[in-house]
Amino acid sequence: MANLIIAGIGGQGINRLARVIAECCRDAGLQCQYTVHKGGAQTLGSVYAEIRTNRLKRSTLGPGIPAGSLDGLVALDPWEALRHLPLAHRATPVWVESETQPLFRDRTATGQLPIEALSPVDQLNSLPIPIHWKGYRKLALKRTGDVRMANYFAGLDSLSALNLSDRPRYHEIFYQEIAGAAALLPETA
Amino acid sequence: MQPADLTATSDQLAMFGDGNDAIAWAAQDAGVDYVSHYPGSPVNRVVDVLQAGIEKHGCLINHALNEHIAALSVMGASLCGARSLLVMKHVGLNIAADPLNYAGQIKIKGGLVIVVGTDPGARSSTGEEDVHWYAPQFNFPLLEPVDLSHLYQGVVRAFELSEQVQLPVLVFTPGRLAYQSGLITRQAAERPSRRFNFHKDQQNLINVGARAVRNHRHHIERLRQFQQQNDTSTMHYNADASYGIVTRGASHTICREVIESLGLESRVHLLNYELTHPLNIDPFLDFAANKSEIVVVEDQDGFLETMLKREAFGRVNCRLEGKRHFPPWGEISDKQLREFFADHFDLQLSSNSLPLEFVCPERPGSFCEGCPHRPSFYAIDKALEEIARESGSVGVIGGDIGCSSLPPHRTDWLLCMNAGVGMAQGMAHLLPEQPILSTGGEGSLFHGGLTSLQSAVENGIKLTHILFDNQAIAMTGHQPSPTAQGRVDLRSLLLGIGVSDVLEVNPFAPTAMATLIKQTLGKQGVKVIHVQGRCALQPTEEALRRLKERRLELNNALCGECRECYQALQCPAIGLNADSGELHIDMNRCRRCAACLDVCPNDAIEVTDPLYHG
Repeated sequence: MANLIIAGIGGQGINRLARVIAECCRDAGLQCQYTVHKGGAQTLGSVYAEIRTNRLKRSTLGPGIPAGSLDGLVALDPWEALRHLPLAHRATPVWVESETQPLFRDRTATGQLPIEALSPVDQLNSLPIPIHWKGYRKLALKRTGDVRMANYFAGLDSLSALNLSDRPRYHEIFYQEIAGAAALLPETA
Repeated sequence: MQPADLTATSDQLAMFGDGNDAIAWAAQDAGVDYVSHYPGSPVNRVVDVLQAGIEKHGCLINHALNEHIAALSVMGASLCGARSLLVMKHVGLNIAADPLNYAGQIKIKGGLVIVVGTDPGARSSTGEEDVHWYAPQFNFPLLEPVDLSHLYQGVVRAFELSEQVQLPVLVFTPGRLAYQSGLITRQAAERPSRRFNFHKDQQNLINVGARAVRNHRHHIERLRQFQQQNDTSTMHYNADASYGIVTRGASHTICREVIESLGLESRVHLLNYELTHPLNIDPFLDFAANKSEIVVVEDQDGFLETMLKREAFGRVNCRLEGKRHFPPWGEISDKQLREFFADHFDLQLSSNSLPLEFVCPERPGSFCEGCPHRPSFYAIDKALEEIARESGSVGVIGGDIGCSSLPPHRTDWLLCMNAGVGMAQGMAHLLPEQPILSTGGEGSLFHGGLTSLQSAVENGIKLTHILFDNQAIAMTGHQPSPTAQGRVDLRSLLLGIGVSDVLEVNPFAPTAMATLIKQTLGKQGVKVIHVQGRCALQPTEEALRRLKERRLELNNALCGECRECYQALQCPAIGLNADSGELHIDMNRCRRCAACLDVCPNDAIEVTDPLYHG
């Protein structure tokens, strides 16, 4: 059994990436379920997908990942990596986009620590967990000309987290599932 | 419970989908003829899926303007013999409750299934109201599937059960099932050819006096007969164990995962009910015969516990508890269950969790960049601030649900549909001199707000309503609203019910909008400020052109550090450098609406656009 969280904010394509990864799991003969949590977020709000896979055909999995059972975390924003770390264990691999997206809070509210004073990057680096810092957005811009393709590159690390190795198949499924990706992705991105 | 089978047979089709897909596919495979709904999370996508498959599966879809109308329309369709589906979120059931109280007495013809998306934990709603209690009030059967494959099968079966008992059947699915995805095995079925006719039937449809009592009796008798004939319960683990657990719905799989991970399979016996109303008590009586203690594990108020106690009172000898151990709010969590079982079985819990300390603020989202709600609320704030400065009178902003309720939460309340215009008119009636205005989208206006506005007119209340017309039910997935269809002359409609002024405004010129709001608040009568701004996620051709051709730049040399754009307008595309204190515009996020340009008193924001004329 393996449990993965892909986290980010509204508009980063978390839902679609979760679907692609789930199809990859199915392709690899795994039982797979995933739940996307997006609340009422239209934009900028936390969005995450809990992906649960199992090599056994018959098993009972609840919809959520229990604390200490997270086997991989891929985050498209440092804040969203922090948010899910309570589910991690000592050996959980964590991949994190280093570029922080705006964390919107009511700017007229008083008595709260200014968000600019808190660095999620510094906080992550101070924790006893090895962080794989990534530049998904920069990579997407460089390779495809569109930062929205950052989720494609985050997906490659999601495959690693689940020990899935068929990258050409991932590429193919991404093409099928995400309209417009084919125009941006080179054949062997 | 059988997990989804990865090897479907030839007449089956295994597909990835979420709970919304499961419901829609089941309705298609059950041969649904007629669908009505009001969009609401977590079942907001069901009708989109049905719509996408309409050519192949052919059903009529009624995009009702509220749940009351949706409920009545499916009752009508069912009486003509159509298999009918009604879809809404939990709070929608309150709106539909009036007609549904009669739906059990009219002897429906075509199967009528009512799918309700519940929301324990309030993940996508303004409340986590427990609507289970409507099942005994309506006296309808209620199915609560435990997982995706059971959700699919449950909806298919609900149509059959509905026709069997001639009653609507409720199917509840919580958010954590509606938004869960997995492999769903569809069962291909021949779509039967049905002819639709309405047969006059005054005995059952003129429901008054002695007939009303007789029809009520027939309704209850059908339900009682159904109760004895149907058993959807399943039992798991050790039948000899003296400790029993009873579950329903999504709490079942969480409970089983915890039991199995703690190795308690030999020490507990588990009973799950999918048909939780009316409860067939026989399986429970068998289950309870050798138990010393039974605990009901369920989200929310303890509906199943109450029903079990009602039906089994005086017939079992063991202790039966539920809500004594689990709170009636929020979702039952894995953690709560682990602690509960550890306490009962005296287990030492080991956790792999790391003791980490960090600060991570909640990130609830906000209006999108380019959303018309943001500058509109800026304008409302400015108008009320000016009135407060001049008169000392504190303004009140009535809030409605939908996208306009997103953070930074500028309204004074956020409760339910039409709470904006409804509650504001009560206050304005009582306090006519106070600057009180209401807000709400056009979805809410057609849902019930129009009646509220007319009520304010009829009662001579001085009220200003800000109508956000973004031409879509945006929050639930951009279902079209009547104004998007171009069939409604909104101005004539509002003037026709007695609204004294209908004032069209451009939200991206918030300074002028603030002046207009201030002037309008001082006038007598019911006035509507019609905010015409499309949802930023459904851009017009002009908005797309601006995105391509317009550039905005914040010149810090001219910036007076008033923070009007950053702190008052609160556009997320405007960022603050914590070290230098300087502001900047993130052009990757900016949608070029230029509202910031309008609010800047120092002309520090420069625009480059061949078609911009100020």
